[in-house]
Amino acid sequence: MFQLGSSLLDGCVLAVLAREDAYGYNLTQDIKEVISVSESTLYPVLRRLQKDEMLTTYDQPHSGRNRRYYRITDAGRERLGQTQTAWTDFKTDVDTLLIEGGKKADSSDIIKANNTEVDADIQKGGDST
Amino acid sequence: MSTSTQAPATKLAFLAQLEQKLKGMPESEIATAISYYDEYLSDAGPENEAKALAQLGSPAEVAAGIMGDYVHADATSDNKTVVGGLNNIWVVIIGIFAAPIALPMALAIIALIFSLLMAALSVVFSFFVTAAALVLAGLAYLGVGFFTMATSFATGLLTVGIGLVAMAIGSALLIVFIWALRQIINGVAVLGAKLLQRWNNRNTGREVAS
Repeated sequence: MFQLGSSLLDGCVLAVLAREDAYGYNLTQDIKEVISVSESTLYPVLRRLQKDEMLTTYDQPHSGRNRRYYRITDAGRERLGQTQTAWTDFKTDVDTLLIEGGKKADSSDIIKANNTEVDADIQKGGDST
Repeated sequence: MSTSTQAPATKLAFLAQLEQKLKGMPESEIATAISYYDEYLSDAGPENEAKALAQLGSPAEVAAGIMGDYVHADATSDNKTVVGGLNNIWVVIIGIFAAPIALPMALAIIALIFSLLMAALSVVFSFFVTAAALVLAGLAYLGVGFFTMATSFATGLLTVGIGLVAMAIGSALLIVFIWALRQIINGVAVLGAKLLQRWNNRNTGREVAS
């Protein structure tokens, strides 16, 4: 019913990588176990995060070929922290509206403010430090 | 685009088609994408290959995802590669939207210039015709006048006079015509040279910029 936007997807990938380094296939499987994403959405995410230096790659030989592992960088951890904070705020606001019917008088303003924040995050790509 | 939406049956077929669909991207980008999916399908294992291929979808869709994100990342990053502030994707989008307007507009401008030129030429030509007609009519009057002088001297003299006046006005107009023609030819030549120069400047300028 809901789809992850690019900043949330970035965050989820970073969060999985913050736990341990992973290669494309098992990273995809890890994420798919929890939430349904199309198999082909992860590669662009990884490539983008790599370009933004949120993660680095290294190759390890595996049964006669190379396996490319992805590792989160310090900048990636920082970004993950920001995404987690923004998500928590956003989730609280959505709960206020969706679950409680909007108790706060100015909740719509807060939602708006948060939306622009998330949009800005998308726009910025990886430039935020 | 109209190729089958069915997933290819084998890893090699998938990779070959994906590479085909990614054409136009930088070589390094294509190579990275191909090796990722090569590795992905190998990691899925031979027993899961068919299932993994089906889940990945058509190479065209996968390629579209890669290219879309690549262009997007390029457009939103404010560093390297992209020439100015305005980036590739916007130039393309503006170009696409402008094409239906710019093309007819260019045609209209060309048509307008052409018709103005034609109007100017026809005014000049009508001058010429009038002048020539006056001179010829003057000659005719002159001839008739001389003949008439034999029978009626006064009428003949008047006719000769009218003829001379007509010839004078006609030759004056001819002089004006020659002058106007010269101006127009000069004007067109100067305008053409200017346009040519501007065009050249713009082209060389663009080459320097890129």
